[in-house]
Formats: sequence, C-alpha cells, structure tokens
Amino acid sequence: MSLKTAEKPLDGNNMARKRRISEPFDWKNVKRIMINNLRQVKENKEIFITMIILPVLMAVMMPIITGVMAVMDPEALVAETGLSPYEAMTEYIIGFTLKPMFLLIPGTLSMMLAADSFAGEKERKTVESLLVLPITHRELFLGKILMSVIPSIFFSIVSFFIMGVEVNIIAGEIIPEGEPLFIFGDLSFWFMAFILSTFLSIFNVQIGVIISVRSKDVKSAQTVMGFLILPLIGFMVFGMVQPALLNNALMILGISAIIGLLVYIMTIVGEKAINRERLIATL
Amino acid sequence: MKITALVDVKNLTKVFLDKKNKREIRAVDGISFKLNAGEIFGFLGPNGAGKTTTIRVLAGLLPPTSGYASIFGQDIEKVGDRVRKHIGFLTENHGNYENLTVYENLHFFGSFYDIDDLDARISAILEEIKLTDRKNMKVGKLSKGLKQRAALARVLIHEPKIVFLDEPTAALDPEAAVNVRNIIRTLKSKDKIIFINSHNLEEVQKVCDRVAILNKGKILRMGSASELNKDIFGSQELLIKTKSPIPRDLLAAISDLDYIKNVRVDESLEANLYLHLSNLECYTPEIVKLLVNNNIPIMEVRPQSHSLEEIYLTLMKETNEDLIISQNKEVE
Repeated sequence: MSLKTAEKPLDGNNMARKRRISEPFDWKNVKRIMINNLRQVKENKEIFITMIILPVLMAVMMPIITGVMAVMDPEALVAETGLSPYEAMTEYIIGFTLKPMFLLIPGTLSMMLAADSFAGEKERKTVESLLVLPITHRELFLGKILMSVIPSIFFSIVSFFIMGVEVNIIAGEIIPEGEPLFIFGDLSFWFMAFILSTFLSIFNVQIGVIISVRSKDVKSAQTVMGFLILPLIGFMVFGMVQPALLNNALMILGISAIIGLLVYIMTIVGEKAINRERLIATL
Repeated sequence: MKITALVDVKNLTKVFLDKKNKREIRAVDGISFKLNAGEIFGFLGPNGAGKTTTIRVLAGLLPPTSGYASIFGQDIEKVGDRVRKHIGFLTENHGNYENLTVYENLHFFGSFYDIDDLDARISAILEEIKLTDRKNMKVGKLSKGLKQRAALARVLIHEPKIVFLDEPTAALDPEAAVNVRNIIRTLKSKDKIIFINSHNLEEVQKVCDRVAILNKGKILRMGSASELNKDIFGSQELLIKTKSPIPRDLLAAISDLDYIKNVRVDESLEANLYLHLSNLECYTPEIVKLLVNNNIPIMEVRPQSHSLEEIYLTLMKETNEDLIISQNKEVE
C-alpha cells in the first residue's frame, strides 16, 4: 500500500516550522554514499555485466564489424552511396550507425545504475539505516545521483576513445592524405561524447532516481525505466535516418542545450519529488 | 535548575493518505509523553498500532502532521538532519550490508559521525557487544542473533544519547534475545534514553522502566508495570504462603474485613492464599498479624502483580469492546 503524508493545515505555526536550520553541505558525505553504492553495484552481477558488455559491444564490436566491412569491399560502398570510400565511411557508417549506437552507452548505463540507487537499498533492506544517518537529504541524493552519473560519463568517454582508435586502425588506409581522422576529426562526435552524453546521463539519472525512490525493488524500477528509454531509441532511429541531426556539431550543441534545460527543470522538480518521506512510504 | 526532558512529545499526530482507498489513516493520534536520561521506555502494541511511525517521526524521518516533539529541547521539525548524530536507530531489519564484513559496515556507517579514532572505537564497540572474533566475517554469513548484535554495534558506534530500538529481539532465538536484552540493560547504566518498540510483552516487562500501551495510534495507558497494575485492576493482590492450610472459619473472618475485596485459595496448594486489598502497604501488616495471632505459620508474603500480558490483554479487550459499542451507536 502506498501512503502519502496528509498535508497539514498551513497556519502561522506550520509555516514557521517548515523553516529548518540550514546545515553546511559536506562533500565527504556525498563521496561516502557514492563509493559505498558503487561497491554494492559491483556485487550486483546483472548491472555489472551490463556495465561491461554494453560498452564492449558498442565501442569494440560495432566499430570492428563496420570498419572491416568498409575496408573489405570499398567498391560496394562507393557504388551504393555514390561517395568516395572516406566520405561514405564518415557519413554513412559512422554517422548512420556508430553515432546513434554510441548514445546507447550513456543512455542505458545511467538508467541501470540509477535503478539501483534507492530500489537496491530497499531490496538489501538497508535504506532506513542510510536515512537515519546525520546527513542532509541533498548530500544523500547527490551521492546517489553522482554514483550513477560518473561511471556513465566515464564509460562513454572511454568508449569514444576506444571506438576512435579502433576505427582509425582498421579503416585508416582509406583516409586520403590531408583529411582528418575518423571520429577524432569530427567535432560533432567530440560534442556528443563530452557534452550531449553528460547531459543525457544526468537527465536519465534524475528520472531514474525518482523512479527508484518510488519503486519497491530494482526489477520494477528497471521495468518502468525500460519504457522511458523508448524515446531515446526513437531519437537514435531518427538519427539513423536523418544523419544531419547527429553529424552537425551545432545541432549536437542545440540538442545538448535542450537536454541541459531539462536537467535544470528536473533539478527543481527532483528536489521536491525525492525526500526521505517518500522513500519510507514505499518500505 | 529546571530539568528538561530529553524527549518531549505533545499531542503528536501523524496522518497518512491512502490514495488507493481515498481515506486518511491516523497512524499516530495525539500522543504525549516525556523521557529522561537513563530511562528504558517501552512502546507496546499490536502490529499497525503506530509504534514504528512514532519513532520515525522522533528520528526526523517523517514530519508530524500536527503536535510537537522535541529532542534535547529542540523542535524536531527545526533541528535539521545533523541532530541524528545523537540518535541511534535500530530498524526492524538489521540494516547492515550483507556483502560487507562487520568491520566494513561499522567503518562505513561510523564515518558519518565525528569520531576521532574510528578504528579504536570499532574495536571498543565490538568488544562491548562481544563480536570481536567475527569482525572480518561478512554479515550475510552470521546467524540471526549475531546479525542483530552487529546491528546494535552500528547503532551504538557513535555513542548516541537516545537509542530507538524497533522490535530488537523479533525472530531471535531465546539465547540471542537474552544477549540483546543484556546489552540494552548496560545502555541504561550509561544514562542513555532507550526507546523500545515491541509486541513482545515478556521483553518489555523484563527491561523497561515505563511502558506505553498503544493501539490504533493512541496511548491507552502509560506507566510502570505496578502503576498499570493498580490503574487497571484497582485493588492489589497479596500472596501469603503458609505452612498448613488455613481453617475455614478464619478464612470467613478474613473475607469479612472491610479492606479485603476478594479472597482466593489456590486449590492445588491449599496453603497459598491470595488476597485483594484496597491498599497493600497499609493492610498487609494487619493481615499478617491476624494470621500469626491465630498460630498460622507464615512461609512467605509478597505482592502478587498481574503480568504485563494480563494488563495488555485486558486493555485490548476494553478497547475493542468500546469500539463495538461506538460502532453500534453509529449504526443506531
């Protein structure tokens, strides 16, 4: 049964009561929460395997497959696209396939980790032990958010470099002299790996943590998040059929700005949506 | 100097909204009490009585809907989260990470408090709880009793002034429960306030100085076991064991005395006489004198109080009867 605290009548006394003393923010508390949660996630095989498999698949396997295809039969690529092998590789293989696929790394990882943030504590029956700690709710929730955001950004950036190195090693021979390297020479990919991925990770984690607060266990949190990842897949498909969307550095910055705005809105909404009381209501 | 209670609760109410059934649930309904240092206070009641909600409100995890509660003289709604540095809270589940060792758990939870030498404190608390030899064992590998002791170590790591214990011996075997109760008793000697939520009557009777009996969010009665006895059963019972059975004419004479409310002789042990007196302290010497004058050899004289279980069941019965009457009135 989900219970919500009844609103108390807002008389003068209650208005005064709501003004709690403001306490100094302590980053050490945030760090402690974060490190402990990462330790717990490491023990969760399902999440840990996904954290490894997804980047390996997207950043290691996909570039190998696409790169090898381009190198093995460049004529076919030219015949099909009417472009030079280098242009076809840049626009179609990297633009159509690798870029949209790359977005799956921050998109999925952040949600997987955020699902565990509070729902995992509920499953382990440790959530109340955390709630009674002498830490502010901002420290607690920021610890949980960073625990999901940092690995997601880390894996995205590492994947970007692995992807870039791999594609250039495999298909480097088709780069004409004087032309920039694949991936590393593409400003839009840099923006995607560093700016868009970061905002996307934070936004997903914000939503994920709210869902995790309201879910009884990790499975149900992941189920709800499964539906929420559909817009991301839709965006990826759109990116595949409209490569201009992801091949344009300004466009990437624009999309990042929109997601950044959503992050700002979610920060305000999240402050109200996630608190100790809501967590207790689902125990 | 004015002595302020460390915990002061006045008309505390907590109402939840059950969105599904569109109704309000008064989990805690206008309760009041005060607690002082060195006191073990028991909150007794059936499941859903409001025990856990009360301690969650006092620990600052839930805001009260109305009423007032203070800890160390400060309003719990104003003090902020750092006040929990002085609070220890043992939840119904042991609350430690099962994949971490006892030491790792204590180190993680202890790191949030200002403890000068955390390692030394961990060693001291493990010694106190008698868990030093399990320090490096994963909590998940411990027995239920040891898990509960590890949880107590976590709750006491920062030497809190107020300790809330929610069903501390639930699901423990008798030996483990005795161990936990012994630890609770040692806390009293350290001038801490210990607040125990329980539906284990025996446990509350054994360790608590005062008890509040709670049902449907309201405190039905509060006081020491002897105060509750007197409050609920009115007269007090005296047991007199004699070497030989008491003659019937003497029994009849005792029954006729003004201050005797009831006389009962244990049928299996004819020499056990139970007397209900209006005032135990006043009339016990008179009864003893009467028996001695009639050459009845007395082996033992002691007040016979009702167990907390009898008190509790009587109160619950009264409450349910009241509820049925009020519901019938509403129907009429």
